Amino acid sequence: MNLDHLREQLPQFITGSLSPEASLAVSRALASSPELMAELQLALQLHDAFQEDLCDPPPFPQAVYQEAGQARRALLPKALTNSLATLQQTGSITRSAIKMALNFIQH
Amino acid sequence: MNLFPIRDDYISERRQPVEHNLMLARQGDPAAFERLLTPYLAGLFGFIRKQVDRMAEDVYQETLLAAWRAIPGFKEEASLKTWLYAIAGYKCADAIRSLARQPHLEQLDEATPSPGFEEDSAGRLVVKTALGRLGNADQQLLYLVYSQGFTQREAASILQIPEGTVKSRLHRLRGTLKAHLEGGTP
Repeated sequence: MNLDHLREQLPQFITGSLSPEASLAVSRALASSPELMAELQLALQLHDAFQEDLCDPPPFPQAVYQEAGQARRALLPKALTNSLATLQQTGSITRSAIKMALNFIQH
Repeated sequence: MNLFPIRDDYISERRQPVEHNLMLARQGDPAAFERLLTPYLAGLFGFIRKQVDRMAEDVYQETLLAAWRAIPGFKEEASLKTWLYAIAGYKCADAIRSLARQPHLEQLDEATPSPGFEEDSAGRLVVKTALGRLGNADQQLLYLVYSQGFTQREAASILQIPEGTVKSRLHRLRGTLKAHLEGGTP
């Protein structure tokens, strides 16, 4: 593995996203290469500077939940209507029970 | 000898929630979608803030809503994180374009360093000072690679530029930063 390739892997080495084998190879190379060690130092400084700058993200958008709710409301009655129609055909549920079930789901 | 052996069952225990949440999210479960993305949200917001500082909250919300709409079609050709950042990249580009179409409003300047890297008192953080002197595009690239751990190929895909460009820009930026840190001319 040449120095360029190892240098490219340093950011993933720092963030722990390298495979154990690749991580071991970088560790070995670091022990024998002052040049790569200097690169690691720069990478760590950059990583730390960016980490200090991170802040808490805004709350997760409610629009996602609203959109999911709308989609579910649109799908559920149709699916239930089909299921309940099957039940009614077999004579195991009355029309008023179907109405009650649909009201319950929609509200 | 591997000093830190990783047990296969440990990996599967750790992986299962991600795969499970992905499956539920694809089926329309917003809570699973939120759980799935939570590990990436702080980094994602940082990425968006670097590009569109004052519009960051709006673009962040739009990004997550777009990701929610697109998750059923997520093909796992890229990692989930790369996919999410790519959506954010598109949304940021949209926001910058729409701002550019409004001639009377203050425009985002590509060459203007983004906030967050102003010089600290007594020059304590030399690296931050050096980063603050770079343009937005250079900061974004360094952020993706050195903070978020993306490979050069992934960063190229997110920023929609050739991998060779990423490689040469990183080479140039490392040289600039080293010169600054060693007390030379940045």
